[in-house]
Amino acid sequence: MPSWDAPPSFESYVRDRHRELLRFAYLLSGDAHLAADLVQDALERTGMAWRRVHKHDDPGGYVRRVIVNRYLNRLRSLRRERLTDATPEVAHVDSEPRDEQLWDAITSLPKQQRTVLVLRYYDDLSESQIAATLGCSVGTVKSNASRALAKLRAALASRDLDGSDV
Amino acid sequence: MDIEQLIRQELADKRHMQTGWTEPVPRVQAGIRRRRRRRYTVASSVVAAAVLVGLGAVNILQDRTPEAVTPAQGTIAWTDTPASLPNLTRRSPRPDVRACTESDLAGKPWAESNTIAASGAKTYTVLIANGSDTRCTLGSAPQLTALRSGDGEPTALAASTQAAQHAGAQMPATVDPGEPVRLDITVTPCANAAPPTYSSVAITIGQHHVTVPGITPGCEFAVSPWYVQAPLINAPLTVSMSAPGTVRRGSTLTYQVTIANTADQAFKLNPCPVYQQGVGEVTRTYQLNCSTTTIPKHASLTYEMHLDVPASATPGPSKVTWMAALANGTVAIANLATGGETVQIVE
Repeated sequence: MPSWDAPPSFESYVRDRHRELLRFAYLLSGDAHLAADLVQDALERTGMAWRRVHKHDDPGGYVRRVIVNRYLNRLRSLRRERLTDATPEVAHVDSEPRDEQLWDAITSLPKQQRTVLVLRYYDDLSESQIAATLGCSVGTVKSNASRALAKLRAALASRDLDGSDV
Repeated sequence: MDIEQLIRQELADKRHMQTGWTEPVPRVQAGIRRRRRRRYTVASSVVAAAVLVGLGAVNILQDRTPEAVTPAQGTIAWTDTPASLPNLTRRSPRPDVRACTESDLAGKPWAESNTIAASGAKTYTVLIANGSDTRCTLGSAPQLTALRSGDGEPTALAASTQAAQHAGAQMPATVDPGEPVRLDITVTPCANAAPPTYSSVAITIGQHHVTVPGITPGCEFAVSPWYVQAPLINAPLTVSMSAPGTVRRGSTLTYQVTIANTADQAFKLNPCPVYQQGVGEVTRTYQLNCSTTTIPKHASLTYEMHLDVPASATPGPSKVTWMAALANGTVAIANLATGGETVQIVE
């Protein structure tokens, strides 16, 4: 079996984008280790199909789709998913002290709703682009986004009732 | 600040930045190589399994397709080496089962005249098939009745007991469905015995007297026990014969016998088999010409045969028979379906 060497274009893509992809995967999963696994898996799959992916000029969309699909389908993620109010492990901590309640509320959302939020407010994808990425209808994207926002509003309202600031 | 802005701010917060990998390209490249190796291994295994399955299927199909038998090259000459038949192997006697009933033997009996003694006594073999669908045993001695001359009264015959006249007779007679049970009846003509004469000989089966057609009237009778004639055991060879349509009596009939080995392995003619050939009532036994000692798999050997037709043979159709007997007692009978080939004996 001949050895495989990464094409230069794939090498530069991995070098330039892997941090961004790690962050995207972390926002989805709330788990740095799972995020690393997802990105590694997605980049390996992308590398295997690099000639085809590169030809279509949208490797970012392809990798993102792989990460999202692997995340949503990953049974192991059920065990790793943080459903409690514990703070996820982070690599860099902001110097300013922050209220973790919003992040806790985001990580406690169901996977599908959290994915919609990340794609919508982090990647700035339109509803139709999110629907294409998730392989579902625009209506499903809207309802997921609506439910997620409602839950977050409720979580923040309860925090306000407790007397805290946003 | 509305909720959407809060979410954007939260997701873009520096807290969620991740440390990059120190060597991202080699890391991903190693993973891709690992995946390719795994894919290659799986593909190779699938191909190997497919090849094995294919080869297995081909072997099975080849096993199912009977190979053509390679015809013999040339004919092996006849040799005049008289021999005697070995003890022939027959089907083992079967254990006794339920007694045959009247309804089991409800079919019509038939008689085969086989021998006429010098005294003029005729011995008939009478056969009755087991018409039931289960095996049964006839252990009791047969009872004969006949019509006495003069008054025409049905009379129980005081028949003497004789041994079964056929080789391979097994008693008590346990008969399979459709198989005939046999008994031998010897009739002594009245010229050699004291009257009265008895005719219309019948066998008593249960409460019924079943007349056996074809038995000549006589004055004295002898009967054998019920028996079955155990068949010979066939060797794994197929024998065919080819004889001219006519032969002059008193001349030598020259014909050919082909022994085919349809098995998947060679058949060794060692020890050299003997064979018995016959025409009509005349049989002769010889040693086979074993100049060739092996019949290769799916091949055949053809032998030339000579058979003297007696000058006293009755003109007309007569069956030529040929049977090889192997040292282990199994036999190979030529033209097994018909028991031989019919030739026309002419003056």
